[in-house]
Amino acid sequence: MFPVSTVPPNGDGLVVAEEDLVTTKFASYDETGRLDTIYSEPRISYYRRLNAGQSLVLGEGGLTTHYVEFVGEARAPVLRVRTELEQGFDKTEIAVREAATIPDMAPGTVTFDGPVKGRHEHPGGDLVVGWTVPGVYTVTIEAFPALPATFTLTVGATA
Amino acid sequence: MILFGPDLGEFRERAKTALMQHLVALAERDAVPPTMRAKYVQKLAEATAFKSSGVIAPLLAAEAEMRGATVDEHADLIISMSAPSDDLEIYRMRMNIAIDTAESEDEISAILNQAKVKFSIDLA
Repeated sequence: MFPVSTVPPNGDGLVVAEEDLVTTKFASYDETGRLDTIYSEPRISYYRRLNAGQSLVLGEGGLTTHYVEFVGEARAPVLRVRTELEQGFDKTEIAVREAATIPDMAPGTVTFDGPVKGRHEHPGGDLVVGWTVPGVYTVTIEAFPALPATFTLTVGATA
Repeated sequence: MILFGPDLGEFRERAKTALMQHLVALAERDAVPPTMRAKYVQKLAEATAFKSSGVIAPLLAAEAEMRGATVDEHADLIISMSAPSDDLEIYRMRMNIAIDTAESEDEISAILNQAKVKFSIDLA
């Protein structure tokens, strides 16, 4: 056992045991399950932060590679690995005003860069998009919790 | 379907603006300050006026004397130096007409590619 006399005062009434001083990896997350800060601190710090109202999940995750899934009726936070977006566009070359489609896509943010640059919030369902200006477009889709996926679409005859 | 980008009419206008900006950048890549560029325009006006009416403006006369040329020779030199600008403007007008008469976005895009114009619209 850790000698109680050498344990630094914590000031918040929590009993500090030896295992509470072991370095522990955990992360804070927002209401969507995105991780926002990664911690590697004594376990007592995890409890102190929980007591202070932070949303925390134990485990070693990366800000961009992991997320929190809320499991069961209690919505218990569980650290999960973000996976690749499973779907892709049905075409990589389309005419001006022709549609490229990703069927049944989860809600997400679509960002495109090319002769026309912009961003679109997809509410979920079939993503059906097209462009009026020919060129090569880089389309990035982030349908959280899937990892961002990047596609190249060629639009028009002159691109 | 969600269609991103301008309609054909707006693309036409934006294409002409992009072409103009591209050609202005080419014409002004010598980094001559606007004040000096205005002087060039003034000199050209003086040279043209001399050739058409024989009026000798002070700036034209002083510069011709400094260069050891006649006013007529110097006016010819100034007018000849403006030729590249004329060529550029003629090119711009020709491309503008092509853009105006293009029947599709693909045609406009091909014209811009031919003129090496980088076209971009940010919808954000």
